[in-house]
Amino acid sequence: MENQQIKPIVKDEDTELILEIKKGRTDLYEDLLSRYETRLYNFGLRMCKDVSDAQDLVQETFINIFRYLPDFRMESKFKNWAYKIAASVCMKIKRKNNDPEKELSIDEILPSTEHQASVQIPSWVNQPAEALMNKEMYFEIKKEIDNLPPNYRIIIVLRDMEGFSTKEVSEILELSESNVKVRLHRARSFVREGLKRYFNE
Amino acid sequence: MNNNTYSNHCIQMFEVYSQYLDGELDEKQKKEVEEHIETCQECRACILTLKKTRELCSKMPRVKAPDDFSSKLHSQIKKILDCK
Repeated sequence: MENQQIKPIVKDEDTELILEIKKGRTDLYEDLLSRYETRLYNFGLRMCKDVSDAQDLVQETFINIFRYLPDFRMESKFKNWAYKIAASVCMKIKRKNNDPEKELSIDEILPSTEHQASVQIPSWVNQPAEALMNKEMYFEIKKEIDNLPPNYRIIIVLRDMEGFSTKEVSEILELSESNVKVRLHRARSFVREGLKRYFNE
Repeated sequence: MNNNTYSNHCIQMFEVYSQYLDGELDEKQKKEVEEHIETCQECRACILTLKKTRELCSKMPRVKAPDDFSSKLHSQIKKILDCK
């Protein structure tokens, strides 16, 4: 890596490590891999729904990270920049897999009112998430997220599962914040409907 | 969907429920949502289930990549860096 005098504009938990690697300490690459491989693997798995594609995503993302790191001006958090690369790799895999984007209609996400029970406050909302989260619930949520079109899935994955803010998601995906908000609400509502059916069964 | 019990106002309000939960509404909009869910049981149930859905998604555990993948990845990146 070329030795550059970079003054990071945004500092975070990765800043020191990234600066060292940019200064030429490429031996520290292991630290960077260790910090991000599980996170990116899970992002890949959630987006591509396939172990082999998720592995390809991680590998391709890291190759691009190390290729473009000398050009990274540290004007955003490293994490956001890395996910931007991962999202673009994900788009390529999506095109290869013919996983088409589509819009969710309002009918797919508005709360259903077929059952009188839907008007009651369901008991599961009062239970702690930790108590609700078992293997069955994990697979139920996973199934609903997998069923989302990829253009909605990526928003709920980044926002609610990876913990990025609306602004960060809009920067990572180069979408307007209002677009992110609309898609997030539709994605959450879609998953909510699935969970409601699960609890009503 | 059977939306007999939803007014146009409910549907209009519904669109901003995630922003309400995320604290992204201005004071006026926030007050409007709060006044609405005080009287509309359907929308109140909707917001509470949506909130729990968001919480459950955030608690989804991460899985570990297979061990052989990790070691392959590390040696591949090392090879690329050694070539630079």
